[in-house]
Amino acid sequence: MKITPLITITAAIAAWFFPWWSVVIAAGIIGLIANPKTSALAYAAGFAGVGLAWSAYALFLNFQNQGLLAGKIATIFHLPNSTTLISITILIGSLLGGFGCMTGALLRKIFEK
Amino acid sequence: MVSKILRFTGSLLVTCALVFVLGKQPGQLPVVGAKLQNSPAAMLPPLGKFLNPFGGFWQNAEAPIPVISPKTALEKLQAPVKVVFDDRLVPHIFAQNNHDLYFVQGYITASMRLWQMEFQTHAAAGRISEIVGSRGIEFDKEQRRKGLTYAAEKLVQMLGTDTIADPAVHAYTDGVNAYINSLSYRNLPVEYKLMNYEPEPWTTLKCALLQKKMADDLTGNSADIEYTNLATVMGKEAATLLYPQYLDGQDPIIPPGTKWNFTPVKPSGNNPATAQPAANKTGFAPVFPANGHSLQLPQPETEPTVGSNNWAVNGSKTLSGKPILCNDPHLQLNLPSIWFETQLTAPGINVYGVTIPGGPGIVIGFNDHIAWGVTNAGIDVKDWYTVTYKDSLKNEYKYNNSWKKTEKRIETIKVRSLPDVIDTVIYTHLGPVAVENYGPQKQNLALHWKAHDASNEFKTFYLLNRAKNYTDYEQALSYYECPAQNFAFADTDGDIAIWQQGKFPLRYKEQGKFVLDGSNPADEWQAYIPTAHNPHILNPKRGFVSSANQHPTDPTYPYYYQANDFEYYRNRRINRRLQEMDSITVKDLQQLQFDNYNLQAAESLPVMLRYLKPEELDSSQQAGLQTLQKWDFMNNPDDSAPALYEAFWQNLLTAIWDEINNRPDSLAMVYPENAVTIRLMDKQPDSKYMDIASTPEKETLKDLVKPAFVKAIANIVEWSAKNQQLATWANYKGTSVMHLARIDAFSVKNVQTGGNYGIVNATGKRAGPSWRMVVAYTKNGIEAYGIYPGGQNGNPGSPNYTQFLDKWAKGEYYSLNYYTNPDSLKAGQFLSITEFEPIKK
Repeated sequence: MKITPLITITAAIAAWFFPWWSVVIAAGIIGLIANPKTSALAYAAGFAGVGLAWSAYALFLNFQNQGLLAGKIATIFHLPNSTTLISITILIGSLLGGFGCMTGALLRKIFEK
Repeated sequence: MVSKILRFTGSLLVTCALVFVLGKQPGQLPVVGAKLQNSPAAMLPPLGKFLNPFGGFWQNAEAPIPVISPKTALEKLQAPVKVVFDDRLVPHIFAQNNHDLYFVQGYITASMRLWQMEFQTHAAAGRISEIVGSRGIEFDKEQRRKGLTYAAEKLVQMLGTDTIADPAVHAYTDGVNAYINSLSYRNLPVEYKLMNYEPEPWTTLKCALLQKKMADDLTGNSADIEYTNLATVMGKEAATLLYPQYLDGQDPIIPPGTKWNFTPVKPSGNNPATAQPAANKTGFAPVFPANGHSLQLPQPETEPTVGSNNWAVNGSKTLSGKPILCNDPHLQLNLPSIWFETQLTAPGINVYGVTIPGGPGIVIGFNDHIAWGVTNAGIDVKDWYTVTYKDSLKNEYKYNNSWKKTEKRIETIKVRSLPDVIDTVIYTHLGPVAVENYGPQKQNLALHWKAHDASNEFKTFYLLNRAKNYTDYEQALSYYECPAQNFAFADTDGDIAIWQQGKFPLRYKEQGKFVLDGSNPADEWQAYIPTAHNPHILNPKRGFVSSANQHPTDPTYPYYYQANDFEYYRNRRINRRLQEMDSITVKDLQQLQFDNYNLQAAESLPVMLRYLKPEELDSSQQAGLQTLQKWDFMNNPDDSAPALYEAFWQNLLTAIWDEINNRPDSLAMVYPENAVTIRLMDKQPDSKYMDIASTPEKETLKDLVKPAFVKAIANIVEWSAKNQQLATWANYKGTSVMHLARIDAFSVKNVQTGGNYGIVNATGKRAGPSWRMVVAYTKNGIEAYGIYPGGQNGNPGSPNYTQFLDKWAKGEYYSLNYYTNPDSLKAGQFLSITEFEPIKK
């Protein structure tokens, strides 16, 4: 699973310079190049990779803000607490990464014998 | 091979679908969107974009100490500018010329308050539907019929001919735009992300709109229609009794007995109709039938009570022998706060104070020579005129026995994700027909309003910010027209003064108190009171000047004016205290600003208690009575007596004015001022107004008091049970500071603080002291204190957003840092310094 940290780093760089959906492309390119053995492994790597990037940064920002804004946004969204909001954030990042990486890996598979 | 392609395509499709769904607001999605239409979920932002920690709302989760960039390069800047942020994030701007000063003021203000600036100007312009969709249409229509944009456009045009204020407004606008252009989605204020829209370029029109919005907030409440209704149904005598021109015992701004050293101008004496309008002697045009089925209120007046206090004491009354000036404007309590603290320094200017984000300069503040503060004059400058169209085309209307052409202004209201709404507003020479097809008689009412005229208030503040003495202050004020304010003044020469400054129509008696006849030239405003005749006083014998929205003058003043709510209590309490006090210190005046003495209760409760007999009450009611009897009339936050009084008073008011609040014809009317009601209760307890119309019995005050009291006791018990709280005054009043878009999570409710409207500490449920300032000139320089209920940073995600609120609620102050030289500041005296550099091309 060496490609997970690779995806984390690429996704973070992409997300800083490009729109939010660029993490899908980043994960896809890594999936295409690194070529995980199975599509399930590719999905898992992308899921964990982008999920890690999103969770690390969201948790850091939330920590330095002492949870103030997350609590308010959770209230606006009628969520029970900010932990739920953080979980949803991470889940969305993970799904984007998982599908992105899997799609990239499946593209590679077409050209493999 | 085929299966591989299929698998890839499937995965790609799922991925694309995921990105598509997460990139749209749920309400905008195909199929699902239509089903969500009326649910709040439709308004959710695009989740992928919004929750992305690298760009979405998480980026607005600021650290307690914000990161401010030490260097910023800006085009259009002419020379380097230094901005020192102190520990409360107050920017102290040091520029080398005026252009750069206002440019950087615009840039910095926008960097902390952009969303508020744009939202407020959108609201003033009637463009809220662009943000919130169809919910905003009615509000927008009303705003456009009021003609604030029409007024702001006129102001921009007039500014173009001015060489002092116009460059400042332009530089400020450029500065705001420099900030907007530096933004990407990542650093947009969180409200834009939440409501999924983007800021548009700032314009000088927006500065003008903000000025007109203040005119609307402070002169927009006109009760002409309600007065006319009452006069029509109950007779002119009732209107005179209930809405008197002057109530005895009033303590005006200009001390009673002051001589008027000018020859008054007569209101167009050669026009008999003006003196005796429209051929009837009641003072209003006889356009309404006596049965009164004519006017319902087009929209409820929901603005909370706004007002203000200011005063200045001279050296004869202070411990230091130098003057002290105080001001606290009472406005709607909102977040981000209406005020933003700033110090502006450039050659010829070093001023500190607060400003409304969106306009250049300082509105309330001080420099090293003078200090000034404002309260609202509240004089009626907004009149309603009936308009008779020739036919349904509305191309012509009746005027002076002939027909005059109308102008039509097409208002296109853009509505988010819906087609535009078009509204045509008819303009007469008097102003816009703000109310159309109104009441069973289908009447059209045109609005003539001083706020519609172009006037250069920006110039007043530009000059006032640089004023060095009384002459400069007077000169600065001469440009000021609307919204009329009482400008209190103190300077280092030891002078104190107050001017009620504005441009007021020269009226015949009661002109504009009732609805006027738009076809009769005699009912129009003929001229204005000369500015030099506006009420003012320099260095009065009593050693202080003060104002608190009361009558400016005693009845000897030779001009007619009226307002629908002259203050009767706060001002008398302030003047009584200032009269008593001696060797005054800053601390004394801070305590006076936070004074919770309820003079209205002190004068009304004894009258109310006359009719309560303990032997007729049960034990819990007797306990309540004792609470009131023992009360010291202080509206302190933790006491229960003020809550009981308030409930008792409101019940009694409702019972007395059943002829106003419980009309079978649902005609809109307003209550008399509380002081009028209390006077009536005291002197005429058998007055016909005490009778409850819906019962056969003839009630007097005696019959109303006990039920009102018994109900109040029950109200309090119910309230406590419902809210699971003790009915202390602070809880019962429930002061709330609400986010401008009314987002609860960004608001603060149930602030624990005392006071109320009509009390010096005028903190009510939704309005209150929006900036408390005390400025003392001492031998060692300026000692200034201030606080407002909010924080400099308008980001609800920053701890700084409500930083000052707790101290404000307790009546505490911050010492204000008035810097003279940014280079002599030592570490620890400030938070950070940003150097702004021009970009050389």
